[in-house]
Amino acid sequence: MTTPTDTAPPAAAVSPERVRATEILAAATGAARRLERDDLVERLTDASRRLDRPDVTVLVVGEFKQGKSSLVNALVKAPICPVDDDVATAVATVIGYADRSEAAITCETAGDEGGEERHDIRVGDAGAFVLSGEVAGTGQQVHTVEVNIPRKILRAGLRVVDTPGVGGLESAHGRATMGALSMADAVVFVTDSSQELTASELEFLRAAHERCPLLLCAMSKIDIYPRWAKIRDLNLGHLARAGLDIEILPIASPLRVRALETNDAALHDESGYPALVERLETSVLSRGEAIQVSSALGHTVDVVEQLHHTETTSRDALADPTKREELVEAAYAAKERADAMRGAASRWQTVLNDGIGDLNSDVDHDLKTRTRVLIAEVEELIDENDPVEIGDEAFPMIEERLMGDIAENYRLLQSEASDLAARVAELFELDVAEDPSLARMLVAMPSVLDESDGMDIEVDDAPSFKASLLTGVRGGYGGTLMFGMVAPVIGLAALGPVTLAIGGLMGRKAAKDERERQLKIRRQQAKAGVKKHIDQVVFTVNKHSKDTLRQVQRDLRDTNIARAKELSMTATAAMKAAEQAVRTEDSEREARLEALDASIDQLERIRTAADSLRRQVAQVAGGREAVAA
Amino acid sequence: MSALTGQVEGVLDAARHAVADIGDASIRTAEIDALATRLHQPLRVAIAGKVKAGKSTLLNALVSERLAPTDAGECTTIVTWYRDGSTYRVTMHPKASDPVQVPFRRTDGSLDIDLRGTTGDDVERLEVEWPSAALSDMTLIDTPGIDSISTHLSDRTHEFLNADGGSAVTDAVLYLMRHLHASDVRFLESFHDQEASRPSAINSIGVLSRADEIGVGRLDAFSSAKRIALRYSDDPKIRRLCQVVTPVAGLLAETATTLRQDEFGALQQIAAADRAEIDGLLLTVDRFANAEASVAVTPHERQELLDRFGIFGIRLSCALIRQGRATTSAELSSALIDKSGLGALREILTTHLAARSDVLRARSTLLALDRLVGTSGATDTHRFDAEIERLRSTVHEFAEVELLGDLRTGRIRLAESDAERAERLLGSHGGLAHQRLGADPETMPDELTKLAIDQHGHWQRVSENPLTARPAADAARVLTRTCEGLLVAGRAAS
Repeated sequence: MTTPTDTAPPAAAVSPERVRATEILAAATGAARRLERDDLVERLTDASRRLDRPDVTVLVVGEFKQGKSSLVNALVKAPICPVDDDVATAVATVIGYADRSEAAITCETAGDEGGEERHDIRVGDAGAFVLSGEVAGTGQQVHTVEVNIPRKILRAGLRVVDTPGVGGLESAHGRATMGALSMADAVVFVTDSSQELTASELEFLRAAHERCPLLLCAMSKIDIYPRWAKIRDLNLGHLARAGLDIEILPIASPLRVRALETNDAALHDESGYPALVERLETSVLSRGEAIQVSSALGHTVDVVEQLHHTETTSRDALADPTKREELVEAAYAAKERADAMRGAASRWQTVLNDGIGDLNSDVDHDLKTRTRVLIAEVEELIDENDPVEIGDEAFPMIEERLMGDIAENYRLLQSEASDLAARVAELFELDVAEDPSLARMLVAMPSVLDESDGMDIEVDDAPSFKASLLTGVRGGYGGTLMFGMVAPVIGLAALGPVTLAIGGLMGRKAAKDERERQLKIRRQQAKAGVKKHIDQVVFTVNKHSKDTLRQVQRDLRDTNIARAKELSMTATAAMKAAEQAVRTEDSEREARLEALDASIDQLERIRTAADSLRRQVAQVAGGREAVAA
Repeated sequence: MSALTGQVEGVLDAARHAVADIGDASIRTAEIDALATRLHQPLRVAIAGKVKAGKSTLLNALVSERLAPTDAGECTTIVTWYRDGSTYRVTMHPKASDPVQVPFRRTDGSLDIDLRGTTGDDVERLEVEWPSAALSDMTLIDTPGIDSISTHLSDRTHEFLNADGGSAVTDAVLYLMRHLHASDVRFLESFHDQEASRPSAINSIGVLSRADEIGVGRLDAFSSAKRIALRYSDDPKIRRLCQVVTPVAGLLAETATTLRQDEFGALQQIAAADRAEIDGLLLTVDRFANAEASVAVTPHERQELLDRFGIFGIRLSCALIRQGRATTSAELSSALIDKSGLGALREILTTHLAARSDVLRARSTLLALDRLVGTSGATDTHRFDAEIERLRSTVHEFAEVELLGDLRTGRIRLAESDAERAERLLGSHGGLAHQRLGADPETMPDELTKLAIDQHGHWQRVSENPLTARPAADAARVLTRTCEGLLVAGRAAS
């Protein structure tokens, strides 16, 4: 396989909806430029850039040694994830797009304080971190490895996550992976052709099917197992009996690699990858695209509305001179109000700051409650047994429970953060609604976070506030933010196992007379060890939650302030337009009115087009959702 | 009859005495008699492991006959015993009624047993008697895989290995593992007897099965498998559960022991054909089985070769033939037995199980007796308890077994430099004198004696050193006795 140096070819086939959305966006950008609103031009440019690249996270999961890393490598056509006969992947690897290859790791901070830090690394070194799971020399635990490379399939917006093998549903990794599933857009489950699905694999699939909107099953290594077709049929039978409608795609990763090297199309077809790529592009990417298109159109409508307001103010003032005074005053008031909304004392800001504070303590309290229960149970267990006797069974149990608790805790954080975002956006809208003039500017206002279940798009005649909230900026950093939570959940499972924390415990058979005393000491040591370990994990998780919430707070604030600033500028523009109308010569008036009418007409047409396309996309996405469910 | 077996018979007598007065004495006595018979029968070795680990395939390889049916899907559904016998016979043991002989056919070599309408759920086990030299030392027991989607199949295996007195049904277990999962270890633990709740590594051997698949069919796959097996052997969690882990490519081993002349001929033709064309064919199983080729081996024959050898086996055989290392089918067979790891496994079975079959049998018999008498409701168990306790505390072999377990679980810790030597001396690498002393098989007897004297002195010093902790000193005393035993045996031999 070649090193990832070749530049990205042009993006994958573009859907008609995206082409249409791009056209509408371009028309709106033209109008904003004509009216000299650089701030709105910038916003549309951002939206258009994001439209080019949907943001979709695909989790590749499965038991040990099923060929997950090989699949990821063959998929992105680069040997990013190390493949070894023996050593298994220890850390989640996130592969995304960049024009030039780059890589970074997230690891625990040096020392004992349990924070997280990020370092850039060489792309070639990524594999070593993935296998060892720690920073050579310092021994810091690596939580995730991130690699961005110029690849066509990634450029289209796919982000592929290679995960450590789950090793059974109840294992710590299994719980962590399960927690991450609900945050991913799609899941590729990998099982090899050597045998039928096992009971635990089927159990995992069943659970994953409930949590993730799109689940594919890749059956690997069909190049070396003569009876793969039979295994596939057996698996289809198992899935059917379990009531799971999951597609099985047979694949052979080495064939894809070889076919690409030798340019052998027939071999490429045999590898099964064309079908897999096609599924990812049609099902996964198009879903992401639908959200993206909808979001871009939301921005368009919003911008057009503001331009429309300026233009109509100008026309009204020109058409009826008696109204000028009134229009200027209204615009002035609107500007005052919009400026006030940018201030720290505004209602939405107060709610945001309080909300983040509450959320911090809620999430913290939730985790502490969970772990307190766990610690109590473990202490009881230790009191009833000799720690040496139960060690090997108890410690994995603690680990599994802890991971389950953390995954639940992250889910809580995610859903509460979405609620808060909705609340803040609602308040912002209320503030706007109190001023009729402002309200007219803002028919559709996109907001920051999307709800975790994604495609809950309402299809109304008028684009409702709720709809724009849901589809709004999801394509912006909503996805990134959500993704930010996926990897750590898996990464945390790589934290040192609890056994290590109390390693010195196992040992020394006590002399008879000392037995009781020694047992007591062992129990104390075991309790202290378990507690210390859990405290450390809680500390790390807390730190990460706090960082995530800080990011949420910053994003929400920045977005809403930017929106208020835009409104203020729109009001200013309207004011200027009204004042300008006073100075317009009678001779120019007719021509000016005509030009304004034409401009307003054009804006309205853009808006109608955007609205109708948005409804269409929402139906497509919603319909697909219904099929998947 | 060894001294140990004689002592166990003493305990059996005491047990008969203990149950003589209870209500269902005749039933219990019959059970005790059955245990007594078992003492003189071949070692019972169960082959267990996750579903599709290759248990039946390995069994066939060990017997050098394709007896147990194998298939790509799940196949073994009933616990089946394969034992040496004077005639070919299959007996069904239903759960609710008396054993009955059932007819069988052989399709493609493997047994097709007619259960006469009885469903698998109602059958406790099948017993296949088969005259075979390979079964004369060991009765092999095939089990349904654990972690099967058909949970009742998994249950049957758990039932079998865990049933009341169940772990006493077998004397030893070959545990097949692919890559180790949490559920494997839990299963391995369930096999171990609960005597004093101490798992012991003494009666199980780990087999890293389907070893050829580890490198995804590459020719150097087996060296990776060896590396992994070695790592597993050193893993503390596995060490306490089995003595050693060895890699075996089961399918290849089975085929090697049952290789046919026509198969060798076909492979020779393939090996002799144009290299580039063959490499293209061997790229994928589908191409090998279906593609047009100039070789005079039909797609149908190629499909059969695939089923028998796997893609790895065909690649390997072609390489061996091309290199001139297999010019006859016998040569190919022995090369493949070696390459598949079957040779090494047979060696381990001899040194680790057969060589101490007395101890293993005595152990499982005592365990079964203890449970039998304990649950019989007998009141006058005084003599029995005393006998069994005396045996446990005085028989040195048991002390060795227990100490090995303690060392492996970390209950007893020796100085780091001593630990490996101690385990070896206790028989972790095999029970023969040179294995215990860590010497080459060719070592002369007086050289071995010298090594034993050295170790004897060393452990004596450790046990008498006032700085040695009490448990370590106890351990050193056991080791000193082991050396004495080796010296006595050595003198007797010379």
